[in-house]
Amino acid sequence: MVTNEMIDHLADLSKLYINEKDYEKYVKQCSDILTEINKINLVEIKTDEIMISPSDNVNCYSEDVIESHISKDLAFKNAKRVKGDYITVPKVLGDE
Amino acid sequence: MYLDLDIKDINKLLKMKKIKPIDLVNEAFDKIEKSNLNCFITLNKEEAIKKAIELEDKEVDNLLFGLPIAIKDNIVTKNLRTTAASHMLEDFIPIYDATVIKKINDANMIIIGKTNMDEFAMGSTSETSYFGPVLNPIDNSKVAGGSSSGSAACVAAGLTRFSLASDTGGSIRQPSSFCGVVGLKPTYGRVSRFGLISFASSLDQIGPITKTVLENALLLNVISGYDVNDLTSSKEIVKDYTSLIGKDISGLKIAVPNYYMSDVVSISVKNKILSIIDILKSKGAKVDYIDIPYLEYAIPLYQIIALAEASSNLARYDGVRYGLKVDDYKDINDLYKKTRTLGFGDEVKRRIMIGTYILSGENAKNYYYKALKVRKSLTDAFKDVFLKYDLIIGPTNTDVAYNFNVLSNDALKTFYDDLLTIPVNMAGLPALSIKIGENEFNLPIGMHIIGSYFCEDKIYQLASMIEKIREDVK
Repeated sequence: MVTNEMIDHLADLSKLYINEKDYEKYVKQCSDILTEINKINLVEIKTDEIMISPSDNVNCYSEDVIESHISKDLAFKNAKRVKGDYITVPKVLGDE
Repeated sequence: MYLDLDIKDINKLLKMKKIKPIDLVNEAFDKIEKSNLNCFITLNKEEAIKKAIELEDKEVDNLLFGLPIAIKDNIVTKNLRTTAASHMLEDFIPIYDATVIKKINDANMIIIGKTNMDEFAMGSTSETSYFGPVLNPIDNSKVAGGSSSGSAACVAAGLTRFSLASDTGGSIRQPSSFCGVVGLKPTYGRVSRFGLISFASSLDQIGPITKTVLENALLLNVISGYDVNDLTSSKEIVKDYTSLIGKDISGLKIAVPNYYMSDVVSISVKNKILSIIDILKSKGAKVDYIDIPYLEYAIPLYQIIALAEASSNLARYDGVRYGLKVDDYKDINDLYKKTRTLGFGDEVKRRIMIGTYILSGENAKNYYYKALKVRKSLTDAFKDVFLKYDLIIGPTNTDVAYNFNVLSNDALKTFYDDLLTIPVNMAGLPALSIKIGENEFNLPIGMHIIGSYFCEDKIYQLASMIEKIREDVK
């Protein structure tokens, strides 16, 4: 059963905030979808093989050649907080 | 109006210098400016005019030379804003071209703009677009389908004859069906995904939407091929996909899955498909009704695999290297959460949360791995069919285009729109939608033609016959 606590947990893992007024909506919608998803457990299959991708490619290696790809200026083009040679983020480590 | 002419005639006029590429570009922008359909998010007018003028000095060396093309806004274009119809990427300017864009430029086609779509390709009506919905050109009160809404609608409305789109569960074929144009999802790996903004990487594929079958095949010829930048792209030789167009279909073995003609499909759509089947039989095709197992599990399969992959792919939007900027935050976690809460729309957030649930702890075993086994079984079932048959046909959609706001209270409807198209993505097969007629309200009905791996040429063979039948009826 989908509860407000479950929505909170999923939102936290998904790095999202949930607005107070939206809980009811998310509980209903996620319940509907999870009921549908549960149908997968009704499927009887004869294989234990899995298929992750339709691609048959095996061991695709690139040539070991040094190439220049993008310049620093281009890499920073869409970043909003740049200081010198760095993209800045809030402090990650604690004070202790 | 030159853009209403057959492309062979346009090509002749260009070769004879009776018209220039700039005439085609100006005509496209005139039409776009007069259109109320909301097909485009960003126009590329200045660059398109510049390119058209540059082409005046070049030899007209292929049928697509100088023709305007629209690009779905989840395919990156260097220095041309690419938003994926999301607030998250509202001001994102790519620093490189997708491989398909390089190929389009090499063929001397002219990019006129980026088309509207469902946010991050998640939806089937364009109602999830941050930039508002696209109207169906046939009936403005109806949705254009999705997620490649603008790419299908702009071709149907004659704003351009060509567009590129992407298909994860039906996003090329469903809007092509709703708008009455030709849309192909190629075999997985036929076209490079380098530069396609990822939704579900094992399902996503770029493909062409066009007015005619020949145009579709010509555009596929241009965009196909192995790409060192996409290690899931195939080294399979690129055929001339126009080679079987117009060829006799006598002896072609065609399967119709019973599920595709069951009660899930509306009566008017079913009747139209049956009438086409009768004509195909009269032309010498052998048509059998068959059972394909697991087709009925398309929706849970898609919800598990696509949403699991989406939750992982969309983790990259954190507001640090690119994307929406928020200024008021306490710490790094607060920055991530505020950016994503503000940047993503409801449908995207819901899909990320469901995908996260699926991949969490025991759920990965209970749902994800089970779905991967069902996917393998479904794919094997398709392979068995193609040992005996050349093509599979049926309706593209269960019904025709519908009114706006139908989805607002139903989180499942958007998935059910892709009921008949999803299995194709699961197996990685190629499939096309082509208009076979209209219902009593003049809304287009699409036929779905599914081929075996890398057999797009055979799909075009049958599609060209259907196009001819349609013209004969006129």
